[in-house]
Amino acid sequence: MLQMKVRVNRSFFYILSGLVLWIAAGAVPVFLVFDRVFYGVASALLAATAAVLSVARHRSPSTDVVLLTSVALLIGALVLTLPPLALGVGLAGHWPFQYLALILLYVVGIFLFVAAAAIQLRRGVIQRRREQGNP
Amino acid sequence: MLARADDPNFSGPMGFTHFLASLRGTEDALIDQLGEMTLSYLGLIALAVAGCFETAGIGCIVAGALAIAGLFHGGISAFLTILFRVLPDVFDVVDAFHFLDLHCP
Repeated sequence: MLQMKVRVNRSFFYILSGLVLWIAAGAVPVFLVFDRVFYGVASALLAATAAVLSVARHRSPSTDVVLLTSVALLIGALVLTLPPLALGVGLAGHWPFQYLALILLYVVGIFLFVAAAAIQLRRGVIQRRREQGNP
Repeated sequence: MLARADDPNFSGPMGFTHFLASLRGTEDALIDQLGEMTLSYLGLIALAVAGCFETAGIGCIVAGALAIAGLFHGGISAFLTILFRVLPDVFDVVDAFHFLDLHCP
């Protein structure tokens, strides 16, 4: 089932682009503050490239995407939430709430983008099944 | 609370500057692991939206596999570092400052 192609509309790629920019907006300042210039600059360049390509390459109203690749990318985004979540929970009683609120905002943002993309994929799967005559 | 650098409870044989050095070391390790994870994920997504996987070339498969391995290695090791190195080090430092606060009013 995961190897099948599903049709998604253009907003899926806008969501993907937003997810990439959101992740970069959270990670790049941390790398630069901790003097990891390579990680910071490389992450910013990759994020900008991915965000622009995502929108520029998929201009048609709907596009077929491979379900397996798309699901893997969304699961990958959820992996990124594990360390900040562990840090936030572990230091909840010791850090000022502003830091914890920022971490929570970052994690919740990723979850919302992933959920929005998953909804788009689900619509594509349902549409595909209808076309095949399996409601 | 302010601690004087020459306070024997802070620096010297009875001090806890080694806790601070340890925390700095674990922070450095954690940032490197987060960098590995983030760079791998962004690279993977850039490959995907560039249509690299549709061509299924050997270079693309190798790059994709490396990115996936980096993402999971960085993510899991960062998670474990936080649980077993960063948090214990933070708590050591917090306890040490608390001790200093009690004994050096």
